[in-house]
Amino acid sequence: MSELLTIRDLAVSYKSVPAVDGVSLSVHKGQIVAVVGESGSGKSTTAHAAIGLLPRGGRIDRGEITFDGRDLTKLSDRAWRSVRGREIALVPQDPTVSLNPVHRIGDQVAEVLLIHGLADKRSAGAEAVKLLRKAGIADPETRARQYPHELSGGLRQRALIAAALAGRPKLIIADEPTSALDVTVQRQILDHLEELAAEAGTAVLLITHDLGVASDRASRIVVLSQGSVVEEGTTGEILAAPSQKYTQDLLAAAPSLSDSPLREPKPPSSDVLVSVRGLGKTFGTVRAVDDVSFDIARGRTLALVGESGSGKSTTARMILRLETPTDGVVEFDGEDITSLRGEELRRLRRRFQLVYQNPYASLNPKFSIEDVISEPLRAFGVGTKAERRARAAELVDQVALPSSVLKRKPAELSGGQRQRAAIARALALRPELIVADEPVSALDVSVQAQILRLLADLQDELGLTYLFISHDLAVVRQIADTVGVLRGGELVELGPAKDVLERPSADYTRELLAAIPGRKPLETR
Amino acid sequence: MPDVLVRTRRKPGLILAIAVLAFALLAAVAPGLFTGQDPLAGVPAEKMRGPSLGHLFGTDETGRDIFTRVVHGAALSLQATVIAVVVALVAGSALGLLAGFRGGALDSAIMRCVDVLLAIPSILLSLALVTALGFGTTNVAIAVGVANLAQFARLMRAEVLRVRSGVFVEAARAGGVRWTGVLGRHVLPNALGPVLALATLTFGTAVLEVSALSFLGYGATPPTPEWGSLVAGGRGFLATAWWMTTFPGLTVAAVVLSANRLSRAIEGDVR
Repeated sequence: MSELLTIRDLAVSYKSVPAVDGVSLSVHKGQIVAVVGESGSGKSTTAHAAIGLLPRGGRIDRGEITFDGRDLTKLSDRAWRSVRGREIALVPQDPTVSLNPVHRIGDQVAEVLLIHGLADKRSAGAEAVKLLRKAGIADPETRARQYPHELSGGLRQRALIAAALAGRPKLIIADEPTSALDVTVQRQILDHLEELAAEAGTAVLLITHDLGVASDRASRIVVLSQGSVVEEGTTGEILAAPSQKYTQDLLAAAPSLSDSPLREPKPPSSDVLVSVRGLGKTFGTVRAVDDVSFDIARGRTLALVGESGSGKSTTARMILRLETPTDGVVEFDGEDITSLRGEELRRLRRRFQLVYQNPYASLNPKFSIEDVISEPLRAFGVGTKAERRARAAELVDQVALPSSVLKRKPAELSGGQRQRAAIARALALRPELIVADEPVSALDVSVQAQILRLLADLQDELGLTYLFISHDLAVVRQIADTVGVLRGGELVELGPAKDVLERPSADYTRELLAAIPGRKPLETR
Repeated sequence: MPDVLVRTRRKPGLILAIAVLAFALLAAVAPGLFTGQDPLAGVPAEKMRGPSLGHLFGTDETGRDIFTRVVHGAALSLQATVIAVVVALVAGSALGLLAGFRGGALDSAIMRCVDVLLAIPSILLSLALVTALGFGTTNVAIAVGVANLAQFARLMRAEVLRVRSGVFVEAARAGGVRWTGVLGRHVLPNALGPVLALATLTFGTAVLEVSALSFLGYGATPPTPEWGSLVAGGRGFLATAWWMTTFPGLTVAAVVLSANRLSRAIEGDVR
């Protein structure tokens, strides 16, 4: 096979801060190559350099990008226009912002055909419908007439794939094409992309943070870290015998169902802290949560799993009384808290705390970390100012942050450090229950593993009870004692973690498990 | 902060604007620094003299030095302006904060009143108000302040709505912080930036409006100098003594333009 895209010693900087420094890789015709790395590794920058779409301030300092015998770094803007879309196409990361909201789906796909003269005005519409069908969209005639907001995330991503395929490119660069989507949708889309590539002999450069996705789809993997290539090889080589420490760590950190949990699930207990009976919530005409019942035993972890829109967050928010249930009862330590209000409810907040998904948004940007952590203490008038400061220092230590962060603002911390600070804040009042709403899904895998380990250690140390909300079964497996699976607001399965994850009784749970990336190599290789 | 200084040094316009405002403020606090003459006592022998070294801005019909009167007028004019901006900022922000934070019927009621205020041109509204309140510098200031509070209420409400939906605000509530604490410690500090930028912009508008009302004779009683009334005083002699209106007028223009330039710089820093 001949080389289609060759990147040699590429260096890119943003305002003279290097982002990519000496990356080399090659993609052969019809091959799928995955570029794997954590945030800031330079994987997206590499991809954008290859399609000549570096953001403002980005500059190629050295190196060459050869595509089909031409050096792309020397192309003029004009020459680029005949390459982009026609020979190299991009499937962008976020389907919600990558489509123009005021144009119909069909027109946006047809636009690519018109630009490259692949269809005339009369035939473009029909061609676009064909492309949408090819991208796996059912009823493409209707969808072509709809606007982006009328489509789900999965359908939008398919429309983007259709637009990428329109120019019949030789290379598709897919930048995290599915990381904003649910696992079951992710699997369908990647399956489809793989088929289409195989059919037309199109090469794919797959940019992803997810080693599981990479190992399922790619024949070669390039591992990037801090702007340079750490390791490169066939998927089999990388997975079976990674030669570099970084890759080994990355592989070890990637949660997968094959790993053993962080610790053995604890035996069931009858000491119930939270009891939920017939919980339901209606927003307007939408039934978000319907007749959900479960118990959480003291000192145990219950994980609620589901895809977006399954009602898992709403359920958690009702237990915390940030949302008032439409029907049903929530009991906390034997007390019915469903209709508590005002000061009584505030008093109760000492006993249950919340850790949010996004540590970038959940900390007041004007506060120092010390203020953030001592805020709940201040709210309940615990201790003097000096005592609160001492407690904040103690908490920072407990979540393994250096004491130097106390005086810093959230913006000066990394994502993982911020999430640790958010956990410290939740611990400040020594609560009994901590609700963690997707606490690791905004973080890199290596950081995910650290935070999960921290949560597990804190539970052992302080006897905490966790309600853990996640879409990621592999993460759940690491930490949960009991697992509940939600779908469309209903609890479809509930049981000990081992049973639910290894011998699921509901079809939907099986479907979810099958969709987790990173399983294929373990079974087939 | 040194970074701000370095950036400022490269903008001569901004430096000039800051100098003009500093001069005006200093004149308001300590007029004696710039002139040793009495703003009220005229020298009849030197009436209606054109600009010269002895009388930078010339003299008026009773022989009073116009530069001295402009310098001494700064105190009343700027005092009125500051009161006006403070009234607009505090009252407007409080209304916006309340509307944005409480929402519901209260929000609708407050914002409809604000809509009414915005529908009336602010100079007309302040005229009506000062007529109702009675003449005098403080009343002029209050009238101008009330006429300008609507923008503050709108901006503050929009900022509060943006900040209030933030996750960290809910996190504070979930952490058991009382609503007063949520408002004072979390919402307000994060909503304040753009509102303060608007305050500096309004400073310029307020100088102009206060002077306009004083020009129309609603301000301090003569012979107390005020920028607006100085412009008005020279109106009758425009053909023979152009300096009597021109220099006070240019002073007002310079202060307004400088305030606008500074507010633009602050706005850029806030964003």
